[in-house]
Amino acid sequence: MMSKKDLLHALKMIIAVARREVKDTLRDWRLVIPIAGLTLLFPGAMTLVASWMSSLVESYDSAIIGERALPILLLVVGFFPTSFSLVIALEAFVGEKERKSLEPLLSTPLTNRQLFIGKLLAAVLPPVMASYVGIATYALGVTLVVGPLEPAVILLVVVLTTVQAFLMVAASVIVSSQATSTRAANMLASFIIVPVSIILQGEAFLLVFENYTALVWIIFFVFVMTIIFVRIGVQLFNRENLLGRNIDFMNVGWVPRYFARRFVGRDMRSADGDQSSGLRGWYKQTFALIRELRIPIAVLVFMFVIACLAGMVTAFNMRLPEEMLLSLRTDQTRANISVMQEMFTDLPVFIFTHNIRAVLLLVLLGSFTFGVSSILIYMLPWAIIAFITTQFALVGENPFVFIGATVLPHAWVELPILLLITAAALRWHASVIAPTRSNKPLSEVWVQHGADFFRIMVGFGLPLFLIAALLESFLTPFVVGWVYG
Amino acid sequence: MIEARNLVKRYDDFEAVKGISFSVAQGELLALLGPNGAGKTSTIRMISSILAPTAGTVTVNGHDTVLQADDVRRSIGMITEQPGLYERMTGLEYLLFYGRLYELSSRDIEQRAELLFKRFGMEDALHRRLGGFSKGMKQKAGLIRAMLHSPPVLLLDEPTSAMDPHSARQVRAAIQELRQDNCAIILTTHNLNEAEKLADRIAIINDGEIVAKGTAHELRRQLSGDRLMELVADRLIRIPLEKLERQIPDIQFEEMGDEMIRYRTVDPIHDNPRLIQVMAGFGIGTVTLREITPSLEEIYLSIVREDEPETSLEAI
Repeated sequence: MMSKKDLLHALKMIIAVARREVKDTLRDWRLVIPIAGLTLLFPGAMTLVASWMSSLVESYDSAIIGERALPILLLVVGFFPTSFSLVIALEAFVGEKERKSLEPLLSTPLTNRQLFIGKLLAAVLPPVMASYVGIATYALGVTLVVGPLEPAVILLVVVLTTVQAFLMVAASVIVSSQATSTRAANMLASFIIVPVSIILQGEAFLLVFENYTALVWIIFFVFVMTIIFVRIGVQLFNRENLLGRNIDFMNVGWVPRYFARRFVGRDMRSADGDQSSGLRGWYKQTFALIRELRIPIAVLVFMFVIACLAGMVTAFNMRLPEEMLLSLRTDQTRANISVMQEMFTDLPVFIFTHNIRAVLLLVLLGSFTFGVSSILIYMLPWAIIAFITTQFALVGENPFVFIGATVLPHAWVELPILLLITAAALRWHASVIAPTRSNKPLSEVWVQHGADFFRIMVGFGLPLFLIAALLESFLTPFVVGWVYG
Repeated sequence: MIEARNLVKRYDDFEAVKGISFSVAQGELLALLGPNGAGKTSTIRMISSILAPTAGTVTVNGHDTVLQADDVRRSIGMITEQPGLYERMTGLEYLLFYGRLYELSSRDIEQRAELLFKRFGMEDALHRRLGGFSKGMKQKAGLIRAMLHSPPVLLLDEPTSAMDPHSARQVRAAIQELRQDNCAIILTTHNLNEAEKLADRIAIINDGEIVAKGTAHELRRQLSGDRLMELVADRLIRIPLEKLERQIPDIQFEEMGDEMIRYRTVDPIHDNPRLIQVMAGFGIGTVTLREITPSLEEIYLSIVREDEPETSLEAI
């Protein structure tokens, strides 16, 4: 946690960086002239277009078309100046790198975060301010010439323009910090412009149909994406990367080598500093990795509690139908035991492969969602178990006996290993957005965390899932039979 | 002030710096002399906490460059081959920006800026746009920026290499000027004269390794090998070389002209009179006998030519 003094200092540094950049931008006629044109002349021209269009559609008794088109022009007037934020942001790091002014800046006490946020603000502020002036000019012009615009629409467009500008800038600053030339950065800009253009078209469509709720959701979505991009940017921003490595060349040859080195454990030590070789040494190192999973484990334990509570609350709110509840009663359970025993003894392979599939799904979906899906998939079985157990309690059965008989015999192995594996996956996926103290570039951290995940999966996951499957197939039905039989 | 121990820098599979060690004391100027791609810039970047060493440690003013990077950056001033100025700013605006990053007050920055611009003979340029400066002035402005917060350590990475001789001379004079401030200075260069003129000690770096270090005088002594002597005779020397070699086996003859012999000897006190004596035996008198001292350039080239790298690392 930052102290107030540190925070003030950080703000001072960010402002110093942003102020210099803004000053520099405002002295560049190549940026000032078009922004000024789009701020003052373009809204005026759009006001005339709005007026002409309103008269035209009115002459065909279609005034509503004119009314619905006015906010679209407002959106366009707001967006055009912010498109310059892309140009400024793309130039932010790579331009300095080309002009050789980056290295002196990197040798100052500025932190990576201060520099990144300072640059981000510098790229976003002048165009956004220009955009506000443009929106105000157009809104005023249209009010005078055609009629007033809805204040809610103006507010929506202002917020949309702002969040979109931040999204474009956050993405562009990432590109700029990774590219080695302005040319390379410009080529990568299409990855930003195309999605934002699609969003813009969607917004125009929603404005025509006056679906303001959907627009609010878009604002929320763009805002979340911006936060994610800023986090990724801060994570990717690395002094070493800025001056050395680049994404101009496809160089993935090091990935399998680095992965293999980390997986095998070369250059690693176990927790006690022992460098014993062979399987024993490998397991010692893998045990030591568990320490590094403290934070994801804590998060998952917390989410485990949340999942159980959610299952219980849902059970209270969504009681099962009467006939289903009756089947949960002890006498019914007794009747089902023989069926269960037969079913489960045939299925250790099924249970094992099912668990592995669940882990693979957790890894796959987690990689697209920075670990969020991993957490949700991890929570799902515990929520379901809590739900069913609560239903048992609601029909007067002892829920602890149910848990003790049906879940615990295998869960004492399955729960810790699932927790451990999900924690390793979460650490891997969140490495893109979570802060790290490591001095290594993000790509290396990502590969390293991936290799750590597979170490834990191979070292603990596969053998313990196998044991859990055997317990679930043979021990659990036996215990169920013993308790309820 | 600066202490580098077994410094290694690896980029993927390429090792740019291979375990170098050196130290620089307060008030001392060490020149890292080497060809392009020798690992000089990587070393400077590790000292300035821009790059993290793959192995080894560097301490600057008592601070570890990895663990106390912020303290290190506060302790250094750095300039690079290109001064990298913000050309739309005036000299003062530029220094105000950098001064704020070092938490100096505007008043202190202005005072120091005036002082330093005056010291480097540019007092009229303080309020002029940096874009209008000559190359020499730009590099001097870079030096002023590096010195603005009075750092105890200065890192000068090839400050004159992209300059015409006149501008380079101006900057060299400015570096001489810096020595008054009693800083620890590292200067990287591939200019031998510059290293010899400015540095207290020179470390020759090649292919990521320090291959020699010491004062210019010590380097000559260390690296020139056996002492090279030249004897000029009073007439044509018509003695077969084999005969001379047989009579004085300790001498290694390098070159034989009509009236001149060049040879190397470990023990000139013993071998020189003996050669004169042998020559006299053949009826040849000695006009002069002198030791040929190699230039630093010859020593340097003899070292770096052995293993010239094929690619430039300056961009790394």
